[in-house]
Amino acid sequence: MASQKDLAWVTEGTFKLAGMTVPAGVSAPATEAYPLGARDYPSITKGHVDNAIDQCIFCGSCQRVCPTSAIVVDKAKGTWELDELSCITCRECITICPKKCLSMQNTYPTISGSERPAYVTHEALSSEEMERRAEADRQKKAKIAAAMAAKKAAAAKKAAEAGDAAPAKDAAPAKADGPSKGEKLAKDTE
Amino acid sequence: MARRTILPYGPQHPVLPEPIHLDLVLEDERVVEAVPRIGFVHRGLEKLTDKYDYQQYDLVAERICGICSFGHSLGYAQATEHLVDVEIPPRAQVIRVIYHELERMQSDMLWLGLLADALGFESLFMHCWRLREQLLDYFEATCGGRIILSLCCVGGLRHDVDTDQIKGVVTTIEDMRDDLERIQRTFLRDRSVVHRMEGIGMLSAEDALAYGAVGPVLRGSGVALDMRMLDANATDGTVGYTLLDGFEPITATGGDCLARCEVRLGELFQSIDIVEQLVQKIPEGEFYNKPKGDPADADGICRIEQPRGEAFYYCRGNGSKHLTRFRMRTPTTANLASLVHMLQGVELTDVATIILTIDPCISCNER
Repeated sequence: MASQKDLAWVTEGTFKLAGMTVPAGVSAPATEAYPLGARDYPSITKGHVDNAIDQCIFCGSCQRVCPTSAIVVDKAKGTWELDELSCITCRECITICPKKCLSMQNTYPTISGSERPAYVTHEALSSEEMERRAEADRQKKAKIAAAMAAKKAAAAKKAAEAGDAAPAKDAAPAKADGPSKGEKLAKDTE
Repeated sequence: MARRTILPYGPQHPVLPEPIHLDLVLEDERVVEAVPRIGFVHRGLEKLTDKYDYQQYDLVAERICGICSFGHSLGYAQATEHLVDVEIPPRAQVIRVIYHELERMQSDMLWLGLLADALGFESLFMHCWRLREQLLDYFEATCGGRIILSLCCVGGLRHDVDTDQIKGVVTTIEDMRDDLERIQRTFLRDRSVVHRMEGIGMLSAEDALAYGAVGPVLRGSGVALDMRMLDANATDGTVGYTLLDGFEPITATGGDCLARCEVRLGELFQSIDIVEQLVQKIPEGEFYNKPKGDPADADGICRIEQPRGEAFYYCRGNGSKHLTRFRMRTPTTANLASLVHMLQGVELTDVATIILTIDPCISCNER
């Protein structure tokens, strides 16, 4: 026969939990019927990284900062690749992106499905877009070269006016310090 | 003399959440000796300081463990902050502690569920994890991730968290209080649970100190030692805890599995109280200050109270952006010696319960 102590065990222990279990049995399920029911993700959820490729300038900053080397950028081809199985959604690339074309989407990529492969390669830009960007680069380079030439001419003119005592005095330190920022940029963009 | 048998236990075993191997030397059904073996999931994460700079490494540090990830990024950040010229904004200090406590709650609820599952108490297991889900949902709504939060960094926080959202979590955990009290009563008073834990896996206070036990294992033996007690003068503590109106560690005197369970259950309510206190004290202002310069050629240490006990972090800088050395000592490392001692003389059926009550985290332990 159950002692008073045994009865106390039952009433104070198991029946107390029943106070949670019985309501849970008649209320709505605590879980979702995945994959039948779609889940509403919070807007901040770290799902996958997306690139608005039309705005991307392929500077490679995201590739350099990525801790898992999941991003590969090819400026010449105009491609941006992301290995989504390596991506840890740390937001480092999004923070550093100068054009803010990278964004964190709150949905998860369906790696196993056919919609998204593990490697997401944004298709190369159209030939017209590539040509447009190349033309913009050429114009920028010509503009920098013209500005540099004008600067040099102005310096030479100033030196000539100052007389023979200190020829090209202003221009000399710039050469001694190596190429200026403008020369460097022009060289980099070649 | 009974015949001795060696029974291999783990690394893959239904009751073990993570891989640890024990060679149990049995005499009939009684364990006379336990020889642990680890090293199944070593990943060499500490070595990655060579590859990642000190600001990137907190992303690695929080991946040391999947349950106490925020704590690892906090410990790493606090140790490294000794080496760089940076002042942590007060807002970041408070939010860090709030998230650390919320993570402690979800970790303890996970452990309680695992314990209930090991005891065969399915409904108790599900209730523990059902409540835990609410905290994980909160983490996702505020940080974008349920486990890996990527919130803490050297200098403060990676992104700010809305004060109203943090205040909202108080309602969530306050609503949990009734359910947690029911769960507490079930763990501590239900016969089927108590029968499996009372008087099992005894560890006296002297033995706990001698074997270097930490966390709930130590406090379950009656020793009131908790790294959240470190005051403002301690350079290796967490500043946010000094804002509390006093802190008393939860202890139990039994020294058995039930006492360790009692400590963890008590800490759930303690964490609720801490969060409620700190939410009232969240200051406005910056959440991040950019560190000036690279880590100096010096040592930085930090001690924090993880859900499993004291964790120790050590950093050595060299003047460059890469740390020369990062080392940590996890609570499971400290508690393994106690575990081996506790297993001596117990019945084979109690081994699973005793292993679970130290809450082993082998992925932290091996890194």
